[in-house]
Amino acid sequence: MANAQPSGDVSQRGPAEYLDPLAPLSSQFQQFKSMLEFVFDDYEEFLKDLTDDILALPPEERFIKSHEVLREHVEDQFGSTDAFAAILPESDPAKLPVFLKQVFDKLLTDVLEGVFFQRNPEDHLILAALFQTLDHGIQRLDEVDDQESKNRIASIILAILSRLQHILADSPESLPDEAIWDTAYGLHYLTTEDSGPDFPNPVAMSPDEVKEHIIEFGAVIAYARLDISLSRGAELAGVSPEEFRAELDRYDVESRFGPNSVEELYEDGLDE
Amino acid sequence: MSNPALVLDNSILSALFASGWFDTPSFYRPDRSVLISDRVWNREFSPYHEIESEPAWATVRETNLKSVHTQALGQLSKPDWSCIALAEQAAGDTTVVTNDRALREVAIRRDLNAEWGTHFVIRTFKACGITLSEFEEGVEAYLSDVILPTEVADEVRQTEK
Repeated sequence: MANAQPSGDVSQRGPAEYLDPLAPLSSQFQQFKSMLEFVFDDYEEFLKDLTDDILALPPEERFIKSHEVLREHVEDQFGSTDAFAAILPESDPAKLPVFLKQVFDKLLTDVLEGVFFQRNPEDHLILAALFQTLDHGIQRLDEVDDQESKNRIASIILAILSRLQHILADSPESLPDEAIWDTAYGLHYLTTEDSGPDFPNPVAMSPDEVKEHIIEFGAVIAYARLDISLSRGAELAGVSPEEFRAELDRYDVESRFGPNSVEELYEDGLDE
Repeated sequence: MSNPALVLDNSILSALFASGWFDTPSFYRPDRSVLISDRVWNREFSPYHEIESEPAWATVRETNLKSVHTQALGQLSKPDWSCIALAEQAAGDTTVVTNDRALREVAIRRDLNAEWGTHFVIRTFKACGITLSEFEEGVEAYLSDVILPTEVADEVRQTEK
């Protein structure tokens, strides 16, 4: 995971709009639904049936075969996937990744802002891990060539999006455990597809272990994308600064130590 | 009147430990008093470095975070904020010593003095707080802990008394 450019002075920002971790997602879903209204007579029923069928699958099928469920539903509704693409240009395989990457990147940026204004932003970190998984999935979709891999990655993305749709429909006060589990499954299946560090199979972990792993991953993303200290990253992850540095190394994220130049080394002007 | 204080955070304490300079008996700087906040000492540093008592060259001091006012509290950890609080509460021209860019930026934004931990090491070495042989033995370990650009690392290696 490459280092993103952290944002600058945050001391003047207001906290109110960043306290609800689901607010950015809710806003994006509203925009998405507005788009669907032009295509479907009853998009809510379509989405509900689709996500119900996807979430009814056990994880070991859901994160591998959800693309088949989507194809069946689209063909039922429109006759063929080509017909659907003609009605909704954003669903074109050549355009969809670009569109979704922009959406997930914006969601990731917005949800991470909460880290600045809450001491223990667990839900923000879990959602950051989830959006990063989606973001990485879109990137992998673009990188792989064979259709089988593309289908598996699309299934991971669909499984997570289905979970998000259900979470938003329920309007919970805090994120349900399913969001943590599905992020873990998504990361596991996605990282077995690429050359980066593997995320362990959640089947072999306790609920507490899964949560710890996801929050640690969320803290790494927060450190990579925000102008926070290494100690703050460790605090978010619930580990020591040394352990957090090891996590950063694992994901190829550099610690932001200084100075960056000899001039900067001496700029405090203190006598020697 | 007390000497102006230096407040050290975990990034520089850990780097001193990694380089073998932490226990150096002559580390003491007579020109400045060295302070460490209790949160840094008790939560970040000593539990992970098997050190039970504070070094002779520094004083561990209790800090009160209630005095720190900011909206973006989440930019730094509680131990980081305790360094800021300690520096703001200490008398005189106090300096926060750190290798962490975010902590340094917040210190400067709050009108505190800030010194890179690496400059603190160079100044201590030049003031004979670290002997030449100790410096030579520990400098590569220090540079492995504090990842710096090549030109800065070379500047540290080439430091002369």
